[in-house]
Amino acid sequence: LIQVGDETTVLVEPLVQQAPSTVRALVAEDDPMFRRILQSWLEAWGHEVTVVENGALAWSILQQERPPELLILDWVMPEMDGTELCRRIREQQRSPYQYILLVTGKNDRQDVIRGLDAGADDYLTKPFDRDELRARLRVGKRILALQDSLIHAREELRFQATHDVLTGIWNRGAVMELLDHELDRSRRANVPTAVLMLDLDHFKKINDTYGHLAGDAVLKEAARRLTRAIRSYDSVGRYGGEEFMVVLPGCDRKQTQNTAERIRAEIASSPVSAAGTEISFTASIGATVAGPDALSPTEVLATADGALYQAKNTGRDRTVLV
Amino acid sequence: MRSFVLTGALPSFQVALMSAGDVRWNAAQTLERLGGDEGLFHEIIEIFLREAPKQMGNMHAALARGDKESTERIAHTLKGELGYLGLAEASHNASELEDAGRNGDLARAAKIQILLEEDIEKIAQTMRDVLAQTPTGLLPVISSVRSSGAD
Repeated sequence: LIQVGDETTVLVEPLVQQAPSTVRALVAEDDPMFRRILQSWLEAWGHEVTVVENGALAWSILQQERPPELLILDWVMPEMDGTELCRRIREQQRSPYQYILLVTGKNDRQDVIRGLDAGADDYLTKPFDRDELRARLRVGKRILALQDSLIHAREELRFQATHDVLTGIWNRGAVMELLDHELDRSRRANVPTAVLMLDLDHFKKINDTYGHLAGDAVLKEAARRLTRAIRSYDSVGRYGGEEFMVVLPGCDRKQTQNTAERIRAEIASSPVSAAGTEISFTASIGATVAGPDALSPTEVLATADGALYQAKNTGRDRTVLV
Repeated sequence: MRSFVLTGALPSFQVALMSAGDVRWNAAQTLERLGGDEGLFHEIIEIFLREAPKQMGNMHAALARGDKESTERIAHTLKGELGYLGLAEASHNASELEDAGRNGDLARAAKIQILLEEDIEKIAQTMRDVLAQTPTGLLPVISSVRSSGAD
């Protein structure tokens, strides 16, 4: 779906992983006999099972980084009972969704309603039947799988909405937003933010001479080299055509000059192989450092753009810092 | 005198305890409920044999200090376990005891507690006998072959 440069190691955010085949289950049950039965069955059905003997322990397990997603909670437990646990879990609104099966010895309709209202997805009355439990857990896993695929689709869309299809780096909208964010931070925290506008030199000639596929290969390689030359907390995006934008949080003039030079040298370091030949390319860079009194992103960009214009007019393959 | 009889020929064995309390335990049904898993069957019975006396001890203590909530809670637990193991009469007594605890009728609770204690003693003996007679691996697989593979 998303085309990112073949070996691109650029700012590609990891997509949410596909639903793992084993669902992690938590059993909270104070009765050792039922605890053992549930554990034994769930393990036989291929789940990774955690068992606890009261609601408070279950709650602490659920605060872990990757908490279990299929919860089988006993209604009556010391410390914190099943319904209270349900309520707390739903209050927390964790993502991804956790499927809750409440197990109850009670048969009262009112109790069942109370449990479902507290946030349980389903309930099972004791003495529970093995086949019925298994079928109900299949329902739960169906819901969890649906949830996983929705999250996956959402993350894919989010990625597409913020990344450049050809190079895999941030797109214009995303990098502008990052700049806006960093300028805000500059004002608040009284630190500088540097912005570089980078334009590949004579790019039209590359396209005209070697074709658009070769031009694409150059763009991809430029993005890769740019990414390699910056720090992990810097951002690089494709501004448009053969123009790139780099945001360097916390860089003063000297650091900005050094970074821009490093990028320029990295871009020009070696030719790229495309269209059966070796294509050399260079870039011009316009740089500016915005202080705490920074203007709007548009005005900061205009300054960097003016510097880029100077770099172009004074021979290209160079950096101008204003 | 306690004795238990395996009614019918294996593999559809049934265990019945003939004694004053006339407690019957259908071990085959319990095994079936557990998915025919003999290992689990043994484990579960052992857990019951270990836990039930503790629970009865706690019950004694709860009644002695007039603790209605604990009486109700322990009886509730026992009711569930006994019911699951197919011990209907004893489970019924536990249920009565749970009600007595909930209603704060501790005099009645104490009376039922004595009955329940007798039930559990007989049951425990029956279970020990069954475990002794049918070590793991010898219990006939009587029902649904355990389904293989993960869901």
